[in-house]
Amino acid sequence: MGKKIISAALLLMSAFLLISCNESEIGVFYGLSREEKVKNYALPDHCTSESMVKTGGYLYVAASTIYKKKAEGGEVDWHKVDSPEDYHNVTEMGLLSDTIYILAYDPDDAKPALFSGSGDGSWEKKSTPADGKISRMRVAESYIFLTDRSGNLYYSTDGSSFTKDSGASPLFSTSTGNFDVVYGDGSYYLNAQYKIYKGNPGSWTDITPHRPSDNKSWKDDEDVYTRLYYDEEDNRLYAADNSGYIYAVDSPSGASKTSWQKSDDNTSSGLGLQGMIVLRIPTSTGGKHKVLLAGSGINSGRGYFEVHNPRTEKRDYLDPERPRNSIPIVSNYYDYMSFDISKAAINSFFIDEYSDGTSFDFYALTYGYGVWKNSNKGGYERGWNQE
Amino acid sequence: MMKDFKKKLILILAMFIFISGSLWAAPSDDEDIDDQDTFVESYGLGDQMFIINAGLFIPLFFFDRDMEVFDTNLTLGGHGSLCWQVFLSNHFSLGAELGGMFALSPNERVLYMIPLTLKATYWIRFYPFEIPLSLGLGGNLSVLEEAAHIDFIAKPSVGFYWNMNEEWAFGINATYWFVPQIYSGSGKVSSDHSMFGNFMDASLSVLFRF
Repeated sequence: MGKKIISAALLLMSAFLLISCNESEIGVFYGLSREEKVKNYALPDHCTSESMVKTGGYLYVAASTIYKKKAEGGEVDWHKVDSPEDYHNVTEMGLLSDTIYILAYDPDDAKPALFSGSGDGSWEKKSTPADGKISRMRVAESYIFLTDRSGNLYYSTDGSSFTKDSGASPLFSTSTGNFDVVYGDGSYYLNAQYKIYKGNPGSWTDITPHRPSDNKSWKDDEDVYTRLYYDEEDNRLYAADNSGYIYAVDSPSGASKTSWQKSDDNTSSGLGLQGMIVLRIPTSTGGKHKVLLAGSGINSGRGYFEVHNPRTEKRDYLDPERPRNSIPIVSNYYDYMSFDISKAAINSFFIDEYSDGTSFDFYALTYGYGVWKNSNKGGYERGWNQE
Repeated sequence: MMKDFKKKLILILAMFIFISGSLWAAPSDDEDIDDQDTFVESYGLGDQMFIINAGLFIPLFFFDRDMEVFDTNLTLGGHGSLCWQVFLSNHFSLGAELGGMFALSPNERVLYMIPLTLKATYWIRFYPFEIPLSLGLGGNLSVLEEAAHIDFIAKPSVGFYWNMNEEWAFGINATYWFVPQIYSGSGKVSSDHSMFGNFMDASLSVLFRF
């Protein structure tokens, strides 16, 4: 009996040694000794949000309920904005010519409705195509784009009537397809599950990334493109996929399938990526540190990945990596690792540029972990707080 | 900082010495010795026991290699352990103990520690009470989300048991946890992150002899 127990104890001790690991760059006790409670403001901690807009000096976020607060650091707390009557679950929001468009659900009806308003809580119901069986909404430059549950694409300039886009439809085979639209370099770009298109509503050209060497698709068959981001300053279009790779193309309005560059490495564990943003953060040396942030996807939930100084000359210049202690550009590493944002799936980012032309805050909109704001903490230090 | 640390260390050592000293002095009374002798006759080489402990985990402080003291920033936590021991003589037993604890950080992250120790105990008896003085040495797995580390651990403890009968006893236990968490710097974590953890647990105990 005694020998058996001692053997079991030794076995357990061996198991301890085998499972020793440290994925982070922080000592366990060291990290605890430096942990500070995150500042937390009025938004629900576990809300899910995907879209934010800025208009009339206010920021608006759709987190089931609509909230607003003064932009450019003018206000700390958020205030509720009345939702459309009977449509209390607002899932998506976009801005077109200072008008806010929202996609909202009646809890008793699986079909959403499109509304427009100025942000004062009064909403006008707009038309919805496909008998209201709408799946997703995106607003870019001059158009509102809707997809229905059969994968068809519709567009409108003001929401009063929608045109079915025969040039690209149907985009998906199911209603759960990944869908995003951005505008830049005089063209619209649209990702629809396995494809990326450029062009204008009604006229799309397939520019799905292919290897220049053999003109074959650069991704595995089962991988899908999740999100797009256009960086105006570099005139570059980025795409992310659900295997954690990042794709980029310069001067995208002239892009073809083989113009793309693809990251050499993915998120190491193959974690999918979602929303992206490119930031240029002032440094103490007087320069700016360019960094692309890419949020981890819903099935992975590992905060965001960083690409420092992203370029298209070489594939590994696009490799995403987890935040490092040695590059605390976006946030103090200890804070980031101890805050819930480091384990959140991040749907999208939103930048709030100040009218002084240099300062900015940016927001991470998460799946189930609330909204996080990154702001200047003094000097050149930036950090996160939960809204 | 250094002053704070010394004060804390002296306080803890003084408490431990005081408790231990009082307990060692207890059997000097003739009547107690008689009782103890009567009771001890039941135990001999090969007798075994299981002890189950459950109670509070009390974070104390960390200090680094420069002896600077830091708050653990942990809440009061929970602790439990299972201990098996075999008697080598009337007063001395040896065995192993597997424990576990949890406590929360300011951002509600959960720290888990799982110590596995070899444990030696000296038993002081004055029937129907027993006072075990123990020292456990072994390994401790600390886990905080993605960070995990295995360290040496030393766990001196003192208990107080009331024997209900020859098999069952109930009591209380207080254990000090000293966990030197050393990083060599060869992995992802810098050697500057080495810290020495100091904790306590206070638990209720159930002892079964067989």
